[in-house]
Amino acid sequence: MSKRNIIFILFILFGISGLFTYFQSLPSLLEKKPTLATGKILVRPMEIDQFELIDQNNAAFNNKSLEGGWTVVFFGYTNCPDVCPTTIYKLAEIKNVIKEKLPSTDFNTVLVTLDPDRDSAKRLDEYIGYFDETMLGVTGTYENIQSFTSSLSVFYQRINKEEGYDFNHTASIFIFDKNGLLFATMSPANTIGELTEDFYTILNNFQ
Amino acid sequence: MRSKSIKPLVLITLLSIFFGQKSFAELEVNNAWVRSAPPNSKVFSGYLRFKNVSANEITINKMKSNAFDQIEIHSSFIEDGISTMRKIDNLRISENSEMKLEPGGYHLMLMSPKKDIKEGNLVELIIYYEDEDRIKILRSDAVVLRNGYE
Ligand SMILES: [Cu+2]
Repeated sequence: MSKRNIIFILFILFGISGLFTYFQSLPSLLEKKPTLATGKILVRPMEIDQFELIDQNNAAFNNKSLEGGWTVVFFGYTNCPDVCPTTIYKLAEIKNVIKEKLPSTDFNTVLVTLDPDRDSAKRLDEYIGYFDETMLGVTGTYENIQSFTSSLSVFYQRINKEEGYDFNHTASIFIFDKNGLLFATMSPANTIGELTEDFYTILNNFQ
Repeated sequence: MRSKSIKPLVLITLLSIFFGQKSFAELEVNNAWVRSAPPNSKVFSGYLRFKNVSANEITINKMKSNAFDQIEIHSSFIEDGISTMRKIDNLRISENSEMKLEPGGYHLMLMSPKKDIKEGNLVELIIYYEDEDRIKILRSDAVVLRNGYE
């Protein structure tokens, strides 16, 4: 066999193996989910452990409450004057845009407090009602809040000060789909525009 | 009798012009606002822009107000996915530069209001800063808003 023929055969073999890998990876390429600029969509929506909390109207907030519509959950406390109101405002703005662009979408936002000592249902009603009446404020016992946060791998730590205390806590917001499964996480530090685009991507592709 | 009663008036006018000034030559405060909060709130946040128009670094050491027991400068930031807030004892502003205190970043933490803080109120800010080893005082007002200059 001449050197030229060998090179020719190698070329063909390479070509076939290339096509083979291409077709093999085709299903996963087609399945590929859209990517988010401000967070990530879970490879597979995740079921979370049973939890039992209450909202600002003393109504139960549990796994069932996450079903039926899309729900955005974030963590905070009402004695946090900077980051928490900022996130509340951002989510309220985003909710308005979504309502306008995708009017049939059921889109709910929820603040879960990490500070049940100071944040009773009554205090949450006063606080949330002031910033965004359509938002849910959720509290509960230590244990129940702890079990909800741990099923989402949310970290929080009380930082004592000379007077009072603050919390360091996971910054992410958590997006649950209509089946109450954890669908995506995002970082609220991004701009309203960036976050809205990602919410739009999710709601548009996975209604 | 008449000339005597005018004197205090002149003094008050001069004083009010002096204290009402928003800026001295080297430091300016712009767009100052305090985020309004629901009744019974113990902590508020404030935002503004410091502008150092001098050729020296300026350090903000301390802040006070007649409306709050305590004011601190804080920084909110996210580290390894964790939202954190830290007290800044000395806020340095380099020469000829601007420093923004804005939601989710550097901010004023205004604690223990001495009276009701309502939307539309003006909150007095007294800023103690160091410029060339001298302590100077700047007085400014922040307006209470739901959502400020963004
Ligand atoms: Cu703060």
